[in-house]
Amino acid sequence: MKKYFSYFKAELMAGIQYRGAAISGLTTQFFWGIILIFVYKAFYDYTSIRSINYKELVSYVWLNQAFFCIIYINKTDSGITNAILDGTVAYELLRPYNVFTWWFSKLISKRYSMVILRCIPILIVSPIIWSPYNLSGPKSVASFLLFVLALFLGSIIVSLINVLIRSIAFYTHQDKGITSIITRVADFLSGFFLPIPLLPDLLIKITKYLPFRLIGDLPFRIYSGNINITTATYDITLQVIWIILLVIIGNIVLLNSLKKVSIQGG
Amino acid sequence: MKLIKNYLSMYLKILFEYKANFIISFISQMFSLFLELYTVFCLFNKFSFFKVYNRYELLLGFSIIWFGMSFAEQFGRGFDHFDNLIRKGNFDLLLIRPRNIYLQIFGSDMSYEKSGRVIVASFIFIYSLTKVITSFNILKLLLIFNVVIASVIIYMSLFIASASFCFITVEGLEFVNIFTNGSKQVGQYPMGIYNKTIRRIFTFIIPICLVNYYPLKYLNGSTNSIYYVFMPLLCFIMLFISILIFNFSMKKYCSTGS
Repeated sequence: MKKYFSYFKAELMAGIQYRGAAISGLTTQFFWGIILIFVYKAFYDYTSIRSINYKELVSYVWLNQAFFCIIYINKTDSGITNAILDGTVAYELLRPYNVFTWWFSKLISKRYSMVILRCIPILIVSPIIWSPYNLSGPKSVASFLLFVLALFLGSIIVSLINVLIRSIAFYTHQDKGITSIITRVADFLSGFFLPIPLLPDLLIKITKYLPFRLIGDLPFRIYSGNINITTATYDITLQVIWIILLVIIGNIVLLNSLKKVSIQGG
Repeated sequence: MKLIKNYLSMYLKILFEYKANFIISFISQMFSLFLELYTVFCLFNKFSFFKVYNRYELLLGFSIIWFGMSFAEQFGRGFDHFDNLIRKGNFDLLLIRPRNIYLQIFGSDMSYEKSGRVIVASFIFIYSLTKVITSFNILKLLLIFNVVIASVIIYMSLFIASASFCFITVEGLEFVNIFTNGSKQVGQYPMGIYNKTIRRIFTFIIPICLVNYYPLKYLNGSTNSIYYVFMPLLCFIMLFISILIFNFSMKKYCSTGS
């Protein structure tokens, strides 16, 4: 446990060292949020829809921007493909720990170390913008607590998916190409580009059976009260089930691909 | 002119060396365009916007923005990734050569990968043109020509302006992406859906209305004033300003190289 935690600390330190990048990324995220809010406003000026109202949507956008680094699947680590291609992955496999756990904790601590610097300023500024454009408070204390829990479980799910993608990279030897298209589709189905309530009805049905909506979409909608408490508890159970499933699938795929691994380079 | 031809053929040669790589990124570029188009259509359907907006006009606006952006990205990569040039000190090398500096920056990097987007966007553009235009005349042809030129010029000037930030910051700022990607995000919807304030911002500051909003009015026949035909050319003012900014900050440049 200690070694995983010390890795997180090292990542956080590195993040603080490169705070210029964090500030620049954060400003981008902030303005991107404003742009999205303007675009959606144009639509809501014309008509409103049943599945999500404008205020809930604005909160959704702000939370999406604040926790961008946790929920964006495509925030891939280019490190691993390079490691596979130049053979340094051999070192990773030689070390005396479980590769699955190591990769998982590496990926999740990277995400948290990035988000800590980026989310706080957005969470401070976005509530004080004038009314319909601001991040409104959580629906209730219960929904806030469930939001925190769901976001935490969501970050576990997204990191497990990343580990799965890494394991697949052993077969394909690259993270571009087919894997990049898959992650794009996964991001789309996770509500990253377009909040899930705004998708066509057919796609909403499809996303119900996939783990992607449980990453970011679920916690954000719990926060604004778009999903009520009973449904939320049901969905959080679903998150736990998906985590167990992904751990099992990830381990199987990883074991299989490690059998086939050929180390490139000397 | 000969220099440009040389640059282009050199990068074409590189492309043939890495064929598989090129094809993969070509496809994924096209895919990303279709995904964005799908997103726009989803929103329009959800809000039943197609009752008031012609879908071909939507396609026309969408394709011209993506065409301009991708075309400028493809050939203006040197400006887009200008921080690479500065950080490695290669910019000094360009400065001492007796050739036009802009031409050399254009030539310093080029990627044909974005051509996937350029091709798809031009197909959508031509297809939607045939649907939008009912009567055809020489002025409309001239306008289309102007619009195509202007869309590229607008994004090129945005790249040049944002590149001039690199002289001061050295490191490339993710922040400047807000101007290019942000205007794309706004501009891929018909500008008619926004209110007046936003349309003004995108006419006078980042003039994407010049290619997405006003020309449409002329093309679908809602206005007849000849002024609209030459309106897209106003973007040359923007190019002029960006070049001024770039030249000004180039004077402040001190080398970073080793």
